[in-house]
Amino acid sequence: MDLLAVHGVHVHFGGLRALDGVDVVVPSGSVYGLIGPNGAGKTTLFNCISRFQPYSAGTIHYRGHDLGRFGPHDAIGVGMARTFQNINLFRSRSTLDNILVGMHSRLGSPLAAMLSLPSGRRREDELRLRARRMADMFGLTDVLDQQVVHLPFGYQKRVELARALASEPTLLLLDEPVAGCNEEETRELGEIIRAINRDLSVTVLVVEHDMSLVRAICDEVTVLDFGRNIARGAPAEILNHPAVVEAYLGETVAAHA
Amino acid sequence: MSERGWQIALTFVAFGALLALPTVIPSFYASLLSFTFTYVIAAVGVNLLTGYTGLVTVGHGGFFAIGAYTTALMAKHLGTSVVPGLAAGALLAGIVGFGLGIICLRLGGAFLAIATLGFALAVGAILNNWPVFEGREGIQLGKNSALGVAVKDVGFYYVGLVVMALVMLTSWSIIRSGVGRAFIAMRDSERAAEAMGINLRLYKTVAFAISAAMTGAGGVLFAHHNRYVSTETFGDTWLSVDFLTAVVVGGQASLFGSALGAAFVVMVPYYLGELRDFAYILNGVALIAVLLFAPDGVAGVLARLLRRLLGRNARAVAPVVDPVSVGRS
Repeated sequence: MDLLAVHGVHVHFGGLRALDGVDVVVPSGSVYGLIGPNGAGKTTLFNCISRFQPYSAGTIHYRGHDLGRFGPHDAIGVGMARTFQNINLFRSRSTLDNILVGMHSRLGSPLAAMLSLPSGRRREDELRLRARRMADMFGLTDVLDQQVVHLPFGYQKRVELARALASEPTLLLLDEPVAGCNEEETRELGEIIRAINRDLSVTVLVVEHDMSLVRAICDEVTVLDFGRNIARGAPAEILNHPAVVEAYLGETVAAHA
Repeated sequence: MSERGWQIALTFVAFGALLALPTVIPSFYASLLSFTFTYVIAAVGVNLLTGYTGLVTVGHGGFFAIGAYTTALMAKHLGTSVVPGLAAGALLAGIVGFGLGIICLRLGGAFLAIATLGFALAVGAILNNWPVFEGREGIQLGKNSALGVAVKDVGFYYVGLVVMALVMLTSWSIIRSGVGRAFIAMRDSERAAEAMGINLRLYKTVAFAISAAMTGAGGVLFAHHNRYVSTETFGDTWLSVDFLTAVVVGGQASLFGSALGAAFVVMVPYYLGELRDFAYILNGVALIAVLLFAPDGVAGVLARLLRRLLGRNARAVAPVVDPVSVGRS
């Protein structure tokens, strides 16, 4: 079954066609990669799906919802959570608070929460319990009350993942999750992403530059170039596909290869 | 005892002391303190918006005026007293705050500060020129009573104390709830907040409305404390500046800080006596000094001292809104 279906999406920035009729279909339960050279439109498409970017033509359907009218804050309510390319945490807050904000869509009545009514307090206790469990799952229990700005890079990445998963999404959108990571950290994060997919049955859509990660975790990838689809398939085949090699390395090198 | 435990214990001690205080001080000082309470209430409102939500306002004097004139006009035409005035004044200020919030939705940083300043100037101009408000002549309010009981200096002190406690309690309840977390999240990163499902438009306007309602309640008490309102006080923007100064000097995102800061801006001109005009300079100096040397305000400095006394690792805490980011959206 398809969880997410993107059909003929166009985004133009003035004269620049960032996306020129892109199609992507993400099957439920997969780890799906979105790759392509710089400027291919990966991040633009990612932002269209997560609703941070409007599109002028085409459709994006997610579990029967047409996302065209959705705002950025509506995505998480239907089960799509995202992370950011460069870590984007609530810097003055603790690990626990960051995860709790991730559960905002499960807050219930804002009035009951604000006035500390019994129902609001019960919900708050539930959320705190779940946030602690989420922290435990990501090995963050020891830094629960620490301000996130003071945490090491690797921890911050995990806080961001835990925060995104706190809403219990069915689709997790990752924007270059290993940007700035060394080989060891990349391998570790890859394992974490696979575990999220396997153990929590979360479908993952990942935009990534790092081909070692793509090869290690993706079931299927779509390659974009100049805002168009150029190939689709399993990572092992796709990375040797002539059109993909050409897009990354240029025509002459491809001809000699 | 945990840091949180200490905070709660100290809060109880402070309120206990404030409850007992009128029995040992002359009634004149009770009056000065209840005047301070009106500023504290206003500053708590400003803090919710500027300290916690990160939306800088230089216009809350306008909401203070709306509260004050609502109750003054009600007292004059309907003969009402403090409690109905509080309900109506806070409600009206909240509604206007909601409207201003919608208008200012797309603004942040310095642009928002200027827009709110414009709001305060507009309120001042309306008060000065619309005959209903009687300009510099002003409106007299009758003797004060609360729930049918006549109150004088000491009685009014307790009215002020109760309202201040209620406003602080409400503010505290909001801040530690999921809604307060959403306010703070918007301050730290709007994009991430949106991705977590926080509706920026809704939450910003709600923050504006609640903040305005609280400051409006302060204005209501102010009018009854002075038993007089006129554009001498409400015609310019100094109140707005005072409230922002109180919040920044006292400590952004700290209720205790709002109380300290409000006491500072009230007491300085009072103790300067004849030299009270120098208060403007002193406030300015305090503002700059705090932003340069202790961006988390006096409350932040005291919190660090407390932590050191408790022998805890006094880790440097990043200022909630540092001086650099105050000027940006």
